[in-house]
Amino acid sequence: MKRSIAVVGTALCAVLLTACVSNSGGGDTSTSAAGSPAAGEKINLTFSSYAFQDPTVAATQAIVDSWNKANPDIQVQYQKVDAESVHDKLVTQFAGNSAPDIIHDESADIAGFSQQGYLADLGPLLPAELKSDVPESVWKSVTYGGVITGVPTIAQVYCVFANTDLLKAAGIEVPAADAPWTWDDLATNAKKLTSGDVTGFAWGLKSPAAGIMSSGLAFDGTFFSGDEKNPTIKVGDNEMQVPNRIAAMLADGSMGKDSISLSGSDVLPGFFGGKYAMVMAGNYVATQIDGKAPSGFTWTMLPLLKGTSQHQASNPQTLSVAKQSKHPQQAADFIAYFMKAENLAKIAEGDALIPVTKSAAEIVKKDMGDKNGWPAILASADQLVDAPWNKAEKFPDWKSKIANPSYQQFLAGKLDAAGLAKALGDGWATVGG
Amino acid sequence: MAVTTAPAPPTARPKAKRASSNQRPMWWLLLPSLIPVIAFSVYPLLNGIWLGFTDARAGYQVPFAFNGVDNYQRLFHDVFFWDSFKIGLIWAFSVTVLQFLLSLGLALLLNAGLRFQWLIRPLALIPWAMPSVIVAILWKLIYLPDAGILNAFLRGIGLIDTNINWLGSFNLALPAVIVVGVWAGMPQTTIALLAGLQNTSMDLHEAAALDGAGAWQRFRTVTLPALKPVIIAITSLDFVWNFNSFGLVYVLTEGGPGRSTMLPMLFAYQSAFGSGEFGYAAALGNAMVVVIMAILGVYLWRQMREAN
Amino acid sequence: MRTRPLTRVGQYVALACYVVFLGFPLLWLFSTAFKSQQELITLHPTLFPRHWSLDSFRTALDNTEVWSSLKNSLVVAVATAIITTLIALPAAYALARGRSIVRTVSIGWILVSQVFPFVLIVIPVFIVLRNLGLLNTLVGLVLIYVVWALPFTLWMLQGYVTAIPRELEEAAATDGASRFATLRKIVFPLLMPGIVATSMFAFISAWNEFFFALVIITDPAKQTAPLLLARYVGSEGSVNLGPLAATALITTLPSLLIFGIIQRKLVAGLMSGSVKG
Repeated sequence: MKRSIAVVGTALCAVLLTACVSNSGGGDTSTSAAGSPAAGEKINLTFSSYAFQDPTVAATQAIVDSWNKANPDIQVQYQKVDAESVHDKLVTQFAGNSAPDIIHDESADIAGFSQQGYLADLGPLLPAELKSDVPESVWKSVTYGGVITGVPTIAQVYCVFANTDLLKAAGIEVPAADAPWTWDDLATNAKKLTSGDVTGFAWGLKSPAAGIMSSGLAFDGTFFSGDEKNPTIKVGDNEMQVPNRIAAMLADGSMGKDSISLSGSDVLPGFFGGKYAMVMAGNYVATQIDGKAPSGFTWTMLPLLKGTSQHQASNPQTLSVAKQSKHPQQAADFIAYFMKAENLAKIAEGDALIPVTKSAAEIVKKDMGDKNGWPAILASADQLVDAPWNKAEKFPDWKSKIANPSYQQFLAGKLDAAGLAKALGDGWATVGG
Repeated sequence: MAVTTAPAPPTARPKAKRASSNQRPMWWLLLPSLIPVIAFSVYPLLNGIWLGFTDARAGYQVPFAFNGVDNYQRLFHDVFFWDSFKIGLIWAFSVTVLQFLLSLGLALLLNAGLRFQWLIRPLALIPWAMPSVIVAILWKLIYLPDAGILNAFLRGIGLIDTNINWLGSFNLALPAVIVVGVWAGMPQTTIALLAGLQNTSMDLHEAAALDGAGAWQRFRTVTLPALKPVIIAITSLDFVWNFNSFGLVYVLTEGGPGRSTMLPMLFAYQSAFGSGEFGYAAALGNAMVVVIMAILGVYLWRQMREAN
Repeated sequence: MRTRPLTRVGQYVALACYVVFLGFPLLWLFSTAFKSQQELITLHPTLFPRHWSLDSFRTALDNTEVWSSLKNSLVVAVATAIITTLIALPAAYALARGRSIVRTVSIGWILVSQVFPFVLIVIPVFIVLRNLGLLNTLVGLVLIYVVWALPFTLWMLQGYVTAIPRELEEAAATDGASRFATLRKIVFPLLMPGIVATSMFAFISAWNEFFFALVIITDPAKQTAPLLLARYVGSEGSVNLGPLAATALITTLPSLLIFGIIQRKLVAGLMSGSVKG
């Protein structure tokens, strides 16, 4: 009796093990999480989204509900995931061949997944009117090797938030959309605003590479050129414009030294408390200012800073379809539905981000009115350009291992300008770029 | 209970012979734990170790192949890995040692027959009870340079004039995250040591006290030796756990500023999940297993030898 | 053994320092949960809210997922604690009384499983679960947590078993008691405190686990509390702090309460085991 238990047990283990080993390649085409393939049957699609703000979550749910009501045969299930974990979850799900059909992510992140072949080609699946509704430069930022693997939805820009009372007190006027401040203006005015307890300018640069490099495009700081997957790097005067200007402001005290180690929105207490007159942040911070600023606090977003242009890197949020999905056409249909002007406008308003379609931008413009500098920000989708590093295979590696630490060292004064340029350039070879 | 007549395996040492008398009916007791352990621990572990000798990468239907020691050659020349390894050792040693000393102190106090123990014991377990998602966020808030309560407190009692940028400073970031690490790991260490203390016989203490030994001497000659097995067990486990932890530090600093808090596990995580280099990351894991086992081996061996 | 009054005072002062160090983050969590939106972002934070506000709790409890995630966490943690104990108990007994080769192999596994970087285990585990059809199920989660908690549990439990003198069992055996009866009547009661301690460990490790839950659970109705908490954290370090703190406080209190209730047993239980472990 006991012996037989033992034998059965051993056999069980062996079976289990074989089952595990035979399927561990990660690339097999066996069952995915999607529903049944038979024609005429109900199709179930899964849709994972990292929508964060409550209004955005509600808007997403509303879109899914209305779709499900209108399409009883194609049911979409909304799966929620937190923004910081999207990538890790997808890596695991892709490797385990169990990815959701419709994937909400961002352009910079799907670059890797596209190159790894995990995302479906959406080109033939999308309606023509959607294609013409989004600026060509933004489409370029989600096209990898000629293949569109993500539909851009909403985008952020880095903009200057200003405490209008402090500006008024210093006799500084808020610039109009057609006469934006240059980086020089920012430096001059930051100095003007700095006195006593007030520091003119602050920027939460805990992970400095993204913001500094995106802003650098206004000076044509492209960093990379050549083959889009394996480009070569050059760190010259254009690339060093923004870092040098930040360093100068840090040196003359018009930029808060403590702020550079904070994450984007951690500068808000100082902004609300009147310690910082202006802060640079992703424009999504507007929702937090709306809800959490002390009563009587007046503020505005300034038009994008100008170097030689107002360009910034296009890194929109995206909707993609997994290659493992069994119903790519239906998934793409849902994405097209999601992108309808009135739907996308709700999503954009919830997150205070910029819708990339012209039709949705019109609606948001009407809803938001012209308070807090919104019109200028909404118009800035046209300034978003496809960054040359977006598709470089080794860029994420370089960014985390080289660029962020090197910029941090530079901002802390542990590296001079020449040292930074050298570290960034040499580091590209170190990570195998 | 039937006594088995089966001879002990020839390789078994004499000591094992006695135990083998009730061997047969015994091993199926292991079965219920064996199946899940093989499926969810042994197999993934072996899989991970094997991947360390391949060029496995993330990718749709991408084949991978055995590549011998290529990963290890690359690892050997990876300066960032060695930098992070050094930081990892500093982190793991300091956290473990501080954790041990502080926990020992607390355990001694909790064992000293003071009042309010029923209240303080659960309080000592607070770091265990709080969800790890919020722990790092709370500490980050406490450490904030201009809006953090720590600087506000230090300013209030006049200890500092200007705010200190705890997590943003190259010199202070590592010590600051070490404090959080110590905090987070104190419950299990304290409980284990407290339990050990309660087990050391009161008679021995009293005998020593009668002999006129002072408190310190009693501690050194009676308590500490009796506690030794617990100390070895818990410090070695703590060391391994600390070396492998990275979640806390990731939320606090993301390895910055300037790589000053880049722990090796953060490095492995970035290689596997950031760059999708499963093979290389696994090789990194294998290397860490070897090094940690070596350190532990030396530590345990020395402790055993001293004990004898 | 009398302690001098001065030493006593010193001991209480030291104890107070410990309580502040260990307890302060909880106090801060508590205070954060009761602050108003405006007070959460201020340059001059105060230890206690200037105006006590229940807004954060209202927002947190408006989210119906709070209760379902708490329930899921509770189910998963309790199931993990029970199953871990049930399968570890016989195994620990076998390990403690068994042949040395099994012991050596087991100890080797226990150590390697703790040393090998856990992030590298996630994907193979995910694939095993997929092949068993257990993705997106609480059962799958429990299975993993059980195996996850086993090394520590086994390690401690076999220590408690070793601490029970063999002679006790042999005496029972000569009295004609069956092996099972011996285990049930003699060994099991003596192990009770140790069982409480180890199941607590299994409970808390399942209660707090995030990463496995993240990759395995996709259905919002099945998510555990840590997953819900993480969703209050946005990208680039932005945090919906008020509701996060309120929800975190709600999930912290049950475990603290349990600690408070069973702390006597916990200490008594760890006592015998860790010495041998």
